[in-house]
Amino acid sequence: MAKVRDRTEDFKDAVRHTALSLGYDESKLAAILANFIIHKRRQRSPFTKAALKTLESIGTLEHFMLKHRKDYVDLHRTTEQERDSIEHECLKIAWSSGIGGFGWDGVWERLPVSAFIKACQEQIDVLKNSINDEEDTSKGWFGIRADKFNADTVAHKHGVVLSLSERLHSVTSQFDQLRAIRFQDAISKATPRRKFKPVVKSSSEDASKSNNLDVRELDQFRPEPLKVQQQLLDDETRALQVELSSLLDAVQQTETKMVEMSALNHLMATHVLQQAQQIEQLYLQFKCLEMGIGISN
Amino acid sequence: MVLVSAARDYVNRMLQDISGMKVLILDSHTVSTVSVVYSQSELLQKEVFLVELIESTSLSRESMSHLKAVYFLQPTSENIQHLRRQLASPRFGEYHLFFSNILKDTQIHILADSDELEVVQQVQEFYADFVAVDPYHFTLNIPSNHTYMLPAVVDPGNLQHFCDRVVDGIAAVFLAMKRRPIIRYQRTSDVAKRIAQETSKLMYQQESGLFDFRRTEISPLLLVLDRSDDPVTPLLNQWTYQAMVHELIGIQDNKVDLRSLGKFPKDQEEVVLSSEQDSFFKSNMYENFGDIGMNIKRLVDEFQQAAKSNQNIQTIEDMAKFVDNYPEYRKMHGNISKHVTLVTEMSKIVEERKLMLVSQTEQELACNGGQVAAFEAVTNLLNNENISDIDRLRLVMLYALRYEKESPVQLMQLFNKLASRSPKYKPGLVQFLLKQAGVDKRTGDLYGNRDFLNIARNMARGLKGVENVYTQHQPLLFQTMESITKGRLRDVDYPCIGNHFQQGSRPQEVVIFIVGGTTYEESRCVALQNATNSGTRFVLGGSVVLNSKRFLKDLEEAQRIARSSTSVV
Repeated sequence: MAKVRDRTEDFKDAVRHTALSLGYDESKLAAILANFIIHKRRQRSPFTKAALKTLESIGTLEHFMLKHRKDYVDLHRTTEQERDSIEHECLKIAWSSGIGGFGWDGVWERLPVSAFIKACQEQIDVLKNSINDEEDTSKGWFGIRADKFNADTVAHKHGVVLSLSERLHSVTSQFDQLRAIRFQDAISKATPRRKFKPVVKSSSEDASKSNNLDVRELDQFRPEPLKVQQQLLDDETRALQVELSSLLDAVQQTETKMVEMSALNHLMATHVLQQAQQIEQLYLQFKCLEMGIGISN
Repeated sequence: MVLVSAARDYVNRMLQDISGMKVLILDSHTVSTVSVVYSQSELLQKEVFLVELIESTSLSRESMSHLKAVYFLQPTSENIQHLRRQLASPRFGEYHLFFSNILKDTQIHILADSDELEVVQQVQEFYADFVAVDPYHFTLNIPSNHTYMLPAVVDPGNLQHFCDRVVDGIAAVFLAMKRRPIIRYQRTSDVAKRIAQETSKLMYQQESGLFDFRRTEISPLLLVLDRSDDPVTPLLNQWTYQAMVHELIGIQDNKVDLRSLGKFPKDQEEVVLSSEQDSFFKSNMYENFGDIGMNIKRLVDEFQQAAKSNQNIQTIEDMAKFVDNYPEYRKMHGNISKHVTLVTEMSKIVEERKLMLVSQTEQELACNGGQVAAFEAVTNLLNNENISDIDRLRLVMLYALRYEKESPVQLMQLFNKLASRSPKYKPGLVQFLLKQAGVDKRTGDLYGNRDFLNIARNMARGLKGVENVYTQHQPLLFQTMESITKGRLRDVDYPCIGNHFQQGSRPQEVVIFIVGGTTYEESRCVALQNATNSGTRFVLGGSVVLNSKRFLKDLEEAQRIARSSTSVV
């Protein structure tokens, strides 16, 4: 090991000497010397603070999903309704001063998952927009206004935003996977289902039409005594009741099917996005290969 | 080896304790120090993403507070002024200051005064104030090297400056090696005596605490010599690889600039010749030109073998293997084309300047006797149209150094012929050289004709014949080293500073410093001597690394100053 000499002590002495000659009082002197021992930490910019909060909330979302994953997936553990409630149930982090103000309050309440995911996405978008604003107004180190944007820090901020959105995507894709498992039956029976529905509908329509015809026939051709009429009215009401209940069932079924369809739509959208990403990756790889071959030639 | 590893150790320690992204700021001297021992890729591994010179750092206004600044500078007043300005308006988050030599207290006060924003985290002295070009060879790259030739009265300020720089450099070398030596110097040289005295004062009085290392039984030796004691070696043409490249093209900080020789592709304009990084160079740097040719041919054949096997790409596995091996293949290709280019260019120069012919006569002048034959040979070459001016000048100088006292008439004839043939020749240059380094000024037995032992040895050698007529010269340094190993360095010729002298001692570590510059022929001599494991390890250093062009330039510059000063007086 070669010889070195540490002159930091001499330097500190010189600083102390200079401070005394400039007339610093005891407290300032102590502050200066303390700075040598414990280095002042660089202040975190508001951008960094907001980004860290977003990261934290995405983390809690993931945590919640993992916790209820077992319940959600297992077909016999929960009913459809309970699943729906889990989907709609989540943690809400309310912010007091609004999205644009970088001020977050941690208050735990309940809110739909999808809304929550949307909120996270919005937050990320706001961060992205704020990059440009902050560069404009930031004062740089020690209040020296920078003449031009520091390309490194801008690139760093873009990278932070990108990694946050990737994290959100990975969490939502996990969620989509769970949904896919839930609707697996729906996906597999998708085609036959569609054919089934109109048939059911038409039969029910025929049934209702035939009921009406019967009733009108009865009215026209047989001016019966009141008792018979009442019985007929009762029959009518009963038939109407049956019709209404069957319509109600049909409506309920279509509602669930609509929900399923929207979920399937969403799944398809994510699959298409995945494919697009894969295509882009392949393209990039080909580009690299082409460049590599060019260089080696 | 110890100097290269000491310099690397310093740079490592500078960078490893500081976490995060760093910027390294150097000055024009420390950039040489760092570049010969540390490569750019190694700096990147230590998270140094930007390297700047302190002069240009002041010009840029961009603030990069996420970077930590590591400054490695010589403690000169210009650098302190630059630092003052940069500390007053800091661009970086933290400032870590490292200096390559001892800081004066006033300099620390100036820095403390300007650090208003408290950005300085540490101030250290890391004594890497030398350029370790080879394992046993260092240089100080002093620009005003010619100053050593001038007597003190001519320009005392510059001479003081020169001596201070030399003393600081030598001090840094010993601090890096953690040794305090016994100091001896060449009796006939005033500048060597002065440097030896000032070094002794620094090590034993002014900073005796700093140099107080563990004492070994036999102290190491610092021997301060003067270039004028052996003016022949820098004038000769060289035929071993490293020395030849420096003589014909020029090596600076282990880099060769080929741009002056013609058009080259971008990556061959400036090449690196470092024994640390290039194993072919390491095994061939001291070989003869002929042997190098053969070795390069062998290397090219090996490479072609490898290339041919790469051509047989049949399967996917072959392709994968090819892509895996491609970077190494590329590196080998680059290395080989570098050596081939160098050897080709040197062959061209040898052919153009008829150096085979000239060198034969040079070696005769340096080694063998026979004044009449020598005179004839030199006259013939002077008459030869194809010989360049610089070669003619060298021949006359070599003749004059050898046959200074014999037949002055013929010497005069040669001077006149030289003046008439070479239009750019500065008259009186050879006489100036003789005044500096003539036989009266020399201590050592340059031609082996003072000592009976040497005369006998020369006769024996003459009878035996030489292996290679172009490399028969051995620098005077070889004899000096031999005397040291045997403990027979005469006190009369090389007195000791102070009273530490141990009669007949054989030191184990010796640093020889040649004021005025070393040559690669001498560093080769030292390396070969160290390889014999004689029990003594030699390290060679100088104010610059000379070739004949540099030596002549220093001579001309000194003559010009000497002339102008006498005219004023």
